[in-house]
Amino acid sequence: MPERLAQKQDQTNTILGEGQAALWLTESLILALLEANLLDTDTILEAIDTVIAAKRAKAAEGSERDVAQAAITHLASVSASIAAAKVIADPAEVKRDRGAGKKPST
Amino acid sequence: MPNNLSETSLTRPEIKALLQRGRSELLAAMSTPQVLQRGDLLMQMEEPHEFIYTIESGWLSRSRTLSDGRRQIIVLFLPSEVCGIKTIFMTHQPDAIEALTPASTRRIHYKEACGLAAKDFAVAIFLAWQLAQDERHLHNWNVRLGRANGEERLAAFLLELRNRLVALGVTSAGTRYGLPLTQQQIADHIGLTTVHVGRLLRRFRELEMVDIRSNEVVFLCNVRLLEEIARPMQDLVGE
Repeated sequence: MPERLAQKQDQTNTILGEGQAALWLTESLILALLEANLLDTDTILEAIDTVIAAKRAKAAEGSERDVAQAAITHLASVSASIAAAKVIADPAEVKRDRGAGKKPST
Repeated sequence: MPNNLSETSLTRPEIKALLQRGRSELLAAMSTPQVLQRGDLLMQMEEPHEFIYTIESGWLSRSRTLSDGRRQIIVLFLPSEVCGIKTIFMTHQPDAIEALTPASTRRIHYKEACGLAAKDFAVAIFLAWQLAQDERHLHNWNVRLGRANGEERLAAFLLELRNRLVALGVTSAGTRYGLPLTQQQIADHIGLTTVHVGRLLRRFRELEMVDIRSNEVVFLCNVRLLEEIARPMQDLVGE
């Protein structure tokens, strides 16, 4: 019995690990595409809203309600974070800066 | 508008001595130090509470956890700051106050603080001043969370702590300081995800602005660019 429980826990960890890896990878990829100006923020936010709406509909149907709610929570956090993703530091400006001085100011 | 003024230079000259006296009177009436371990709660969310605190050492945070598990770290408290003054007005605190590091605090019952304030205007004006300070910090974060992008939020966060520590007399914080927050806690404070914070920190490091190594913030040769990013989001005293 304890072996079966341990096996079940291993399976759960694997599934949670896969879910977390997928979410983090997707978010990192989105941020990379935004930084490269290959996507615009509004399009991504709209796509996330679509997924949130789908999850809400699924929860309303009573299907895996808790899982859907947890997914909505994560997606809402990702959405808020991506909304703040506009990049302003200009690497070219930094290169010019590097020539100007090396001492950190305080 | 320059934002390199000090807090002292902005304080009205006619109340400086009063504030100092009020602070001394309040601290003198407080209890002996209470030791907290990292993670200990000084106040529970939505629970009744009756004490006002001063932090002798360590870092604390005020945070609110939503019913779905999302969390916002609303404000960070550093040594010598006073927290929980709203206890005078409210029976319950809406947020939790948690020790982020081993810490030492002293406390006073709100009725005793009110009694002191009634007897001595200096105590009353000090309590009002501390609330005004808290409000200033909250206004800063209101602007950042409402209008700043991720880079500006993270830059402003790292530099606000640098400037607050320097103002407290930790002069070495000008170049480096210990930051006892996990990446998740930073994300919970500046309203981003850990993935986003991780990417921004990597970018800041690659651009030689700042690095976080083993819970220590180290400013690098391009710190000036970090300051430029943060500047629109800083107040008059650079916080």
